Amino acid sequence: MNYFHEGTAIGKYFSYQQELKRVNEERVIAYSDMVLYGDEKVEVSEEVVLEEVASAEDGYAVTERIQAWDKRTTLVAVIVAWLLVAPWCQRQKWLSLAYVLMAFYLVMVALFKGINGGAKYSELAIPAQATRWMACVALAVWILMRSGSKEKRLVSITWILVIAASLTFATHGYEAFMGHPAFRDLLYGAFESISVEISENTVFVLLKLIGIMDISLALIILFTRKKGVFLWMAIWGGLAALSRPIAFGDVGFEDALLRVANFGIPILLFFLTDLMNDFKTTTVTTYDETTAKI
Amino acid sequence: MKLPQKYKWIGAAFALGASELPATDRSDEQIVNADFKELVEEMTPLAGTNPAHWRVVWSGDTSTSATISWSTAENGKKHVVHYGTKNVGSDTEKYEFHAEAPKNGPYSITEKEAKDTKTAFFHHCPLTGLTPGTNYYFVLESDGKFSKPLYFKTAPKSGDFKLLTGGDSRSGIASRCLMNLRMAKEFSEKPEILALVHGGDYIVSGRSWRQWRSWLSNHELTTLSDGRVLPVIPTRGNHDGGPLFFEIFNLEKNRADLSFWHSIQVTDEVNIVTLDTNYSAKGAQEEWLEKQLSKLRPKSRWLLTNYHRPLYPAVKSPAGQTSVFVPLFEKYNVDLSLESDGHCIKRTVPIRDGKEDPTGIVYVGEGGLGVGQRTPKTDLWYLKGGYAGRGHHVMQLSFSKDALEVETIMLEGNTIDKVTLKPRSH
Repeated sequence: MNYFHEGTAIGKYFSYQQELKRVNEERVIAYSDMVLYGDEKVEVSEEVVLEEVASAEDGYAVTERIQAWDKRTTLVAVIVAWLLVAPWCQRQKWLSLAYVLMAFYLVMVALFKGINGGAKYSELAIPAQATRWMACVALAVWILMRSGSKEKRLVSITWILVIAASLTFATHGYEAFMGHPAFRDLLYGAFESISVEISENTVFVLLKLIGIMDISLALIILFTRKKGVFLWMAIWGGLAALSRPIAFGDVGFEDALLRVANFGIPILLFFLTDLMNDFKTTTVTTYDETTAKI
Repeated sequence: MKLPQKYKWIGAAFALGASELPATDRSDEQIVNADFKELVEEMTPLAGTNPAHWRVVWSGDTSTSATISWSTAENGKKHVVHYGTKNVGSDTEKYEFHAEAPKNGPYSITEKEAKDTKTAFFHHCPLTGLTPGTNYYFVLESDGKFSKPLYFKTAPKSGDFKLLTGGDSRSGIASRCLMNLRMAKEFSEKPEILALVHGGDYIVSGRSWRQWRSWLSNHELTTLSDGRVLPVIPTRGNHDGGPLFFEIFNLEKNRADLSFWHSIQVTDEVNIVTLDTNYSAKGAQEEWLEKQLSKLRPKSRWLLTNYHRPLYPAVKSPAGQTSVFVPLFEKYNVDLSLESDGHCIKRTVPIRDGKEDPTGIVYVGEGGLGVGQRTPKTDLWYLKGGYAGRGHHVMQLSFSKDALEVETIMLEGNTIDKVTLKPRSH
């Protein structure tokens, strides 16, 4: 519910832009840069009059309208996402557009998170959240290719999901390797939950190892499809998501829920690998049989 | 004759201190309606080795030490603080002490900004062995260019005093300037105010020199017309990443990863523990916090904590550090916690063990030094019976033997909320 009250990064961005416009920020900066620092590149006309700041109450009203729209959009997106799970929806080709829109919306959320800044590594939000938005891309492709060959469909989906998992794992791996402060707290919390005390140095070493492991997994799945690797990624993705409520208590549940795709996509790839193998086996048998007949 | 616009700043440079209406002589109405252009002309242009961006930074023992810092556009060769306990005005030779700034260097600038913006140079002069509760008068000199005469007052060893506290001056620059005027007005009317405890998020992007230089120029507006400077006790916000925070306030980072926590002894009986909510709560910071609180609690009549991201927020979700900091605050009976980041006004009920308890800790703040305000969640249990609202504001902490008063003062000068805390058995 906290996420719902705060609104998305998109809502925050537009609220912020509206605030800046309301207080005439651009001109204020240009004027003071010119007077105080002699910035020649700043062009402000001689007649510039700094507009009066609109009343705070008017401003709040606009901000609240933006936030209300942001919340409505989020609510619609969540409802649509659940509706799309229905089997009937999976048969409607035109509904792939809804998934594309959903993917676009999630990319925008990640993009604006980076633009808004203020959080460590927020500029990496698009690849870090690839499992969320690329899952929608995969579903759109799945519906669009419904009438095509099953093999092509499976290969395409597998590749999209592999790239999604790879991007997310590689980004998180980089953040872990760099010693992301939030990851440190997650490690401390996880070890504390099993009554094991670890030193700060151990945490840094473990994060380096985790970083190397995540980046390695991200690379391995680009070149080979091993069920064991996907299973490990699913377990690890699930544990990493669960470490949030373990370390932070109730407030971490929403974080864990947001990261369900970090577990879901590798487990899907685990089963898809089986399907792909079955498919290949069937294809090969058919080929052999045909050859024998000839 | 009208100067072409691009040379207008040179004219402003010569107008230093020539403003007709010094910040502190404004009425409440004049503060709210102040003209930004006039305010800019009250700030010192950054040109040559003209000392600008003066500030006094407090960390450690504020009754005997302080750092005087300033900026120059050019590197310069000799940077001196002429200071002493006697007010001798601009006659630098009459000052008792002449300390050459030991720390000088260029402010970090990103490659992107360096394309069309020149960096400037910082000069830091840490002073130690000062006398408590004493006015220190000073003039800054950089290669023969002088600042106007300035002064600050060291904290007393004991006794009553006030502090201002607030955070989030990162955007809304015109409003930031107005809030600086408000603080100056409070400071001039109540000489017992000693310093500003800033809750962090000075600017939007911590790596932007262009933004920091603007904050530094705007901060000059807190200086009174008689030259009294409002010292700053800094805290690092989530927007204050990068090396500039340390270069601006002459602070030693705790580790290579730019983490920062420090403890401030305002008087013998008042201590403020400042934490870093950008850093891992557990491990080094937790160990340090526990040591500080266990050491300071027995000797502090008033023990405060200060950090950026709220543990009991009015707008956002709680900081990741909550499960570590709160139990320690409660174990050592912290009296008051200062928070920022939410862009609203907040005062919680006293909280202990996750519920209202008269022996608990009150959390106040959330930041209103210029930034656009947000709507707080008024239905939260810890705000019912407390206060939640919005609007540009600063909080005033009045410390005495028998009480700690927390007042929320709005930009317009009215007090919107007030609470009095009694000292724990001391």
